[in-house]
Amino acid sequence: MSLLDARDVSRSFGAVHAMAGVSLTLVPGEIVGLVGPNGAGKTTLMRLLAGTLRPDGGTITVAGHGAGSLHARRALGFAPDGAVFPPTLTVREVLDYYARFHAAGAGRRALVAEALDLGALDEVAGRRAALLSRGYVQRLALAQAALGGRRILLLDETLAGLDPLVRRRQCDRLMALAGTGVAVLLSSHDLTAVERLASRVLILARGRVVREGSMAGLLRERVLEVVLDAPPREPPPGFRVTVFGLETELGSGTVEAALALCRAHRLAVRASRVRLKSLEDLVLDALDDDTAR
Amino acid sequence: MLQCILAEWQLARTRLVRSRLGLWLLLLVTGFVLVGRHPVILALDTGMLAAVLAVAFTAGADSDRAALALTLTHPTTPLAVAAGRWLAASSVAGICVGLACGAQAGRWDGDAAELWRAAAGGVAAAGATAACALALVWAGGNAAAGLLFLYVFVISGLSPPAVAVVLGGGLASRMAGVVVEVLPGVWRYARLAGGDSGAWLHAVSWAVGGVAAAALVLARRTRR
Repeated sequence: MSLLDARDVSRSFGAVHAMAGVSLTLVPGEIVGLVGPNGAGKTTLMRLLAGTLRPDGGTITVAGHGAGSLHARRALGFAPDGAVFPPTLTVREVLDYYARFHAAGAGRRALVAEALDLGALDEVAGRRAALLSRGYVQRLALAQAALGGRRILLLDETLAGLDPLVRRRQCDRLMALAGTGVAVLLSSHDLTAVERLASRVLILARGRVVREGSMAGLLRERVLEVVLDAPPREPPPGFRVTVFGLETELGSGTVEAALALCRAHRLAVRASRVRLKSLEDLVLDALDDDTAR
Repeated sequence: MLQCILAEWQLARTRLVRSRLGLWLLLLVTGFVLVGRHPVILALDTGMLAAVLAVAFTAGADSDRAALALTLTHPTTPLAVAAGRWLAASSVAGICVGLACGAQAGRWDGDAAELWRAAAGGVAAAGATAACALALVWAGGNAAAGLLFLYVFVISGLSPPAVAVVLGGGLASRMAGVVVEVLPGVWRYARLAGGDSGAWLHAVSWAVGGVAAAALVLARRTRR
């Protein structure tokens, strides 16, 4: 059963169609990556799911309740990019402030302690939230989003601005959260992290999902890179020109057939290699396809 | 709901000691006590101006208004947030009224009950002004709080007929008269201490209606 279900969601800002017919489901324990260029609509989608924006069309249900309702906000936590916290409060007080909406007394104090641990914020617990660096702000945003045992987390660029060590720890923590049944939608430009964490990915461009699928399935695609002695005048059908020569997606074809095609076009092949597609390849391909349409 | 209101109320404590709010309030109370006006006017001026300052420092800054968006992703409501901020500002202003009236008590040779009634009127006026200020700052930021502060300090002591006399008639005079009639004002709330039912109804209406209006403004700003 899905925890979050969005169907044909659309939203415009004046004449700009920021979101057009996007559908998405999240099931317990999965981490879904949301990637795409700037202005693709990732933050708009996050805000629609969190209920801070109203959709013009379509439906969004969060744990069986309408997005933005009190029940939905009990189940869903949102960590926006560049979150702003009450400025005079310390990190511990910020978490205590939000924890009051979820529990009272000893339960509240336990929530704060858990959140400090989740965000690895103990060392800055007494520092004012307004004076935190970006990395700590992102960690505090994650900690407050997960408060109260929420079952869905929407994380907008939560891994941005973190040093490699902390980023690795945060990734591990997110995987541990997912292991407890929490569904995570992670929007990020850090494709390496998304590749490592997400079991499924949605590629967004101009407010539409241009490609989606399981990470394992998408990254199984093979690419043949061909190094040439001289740049080609025109690439063979199905090939594209790169800085070192040519490359093509093998699909169900063989390496020999592809190289034979190069030779048939009188291209001097110096070397070749087969590699698996990266998420970056997939995103760039999807964006190229979308632009070509 | 009560838990959510208390969450907002606790914000005021840190503002008193970690921002200039505490200093401004201290100056305000000291200034009015030193001027030595009648307890009724002292309580009203202190309560209403302290309420505007408290709202400006706890809810009106850009960073405070921006932070509300994240607050409302948690299980609370705009009404609870508005009620909590109003309670915080009113409490702070109420303490200022208490301090001012307490300081005045040493010099007051009239009836002690009159002093108590003046303090009660000051607290009620502070509640009405805080609600009005809250709705205004969430709609227009601290510029609106600045205008309300000036209005309370300079104009609101004048009744509508007095405004008409000062402005000499005409459209501007009539408009100013309506503003003075509608908004919380020292001229009207001076009758609170005497138990005037019209003044009390006006103050309670502003307290309830202002919080509701602030909640509506907040709901519109944070869920578009």
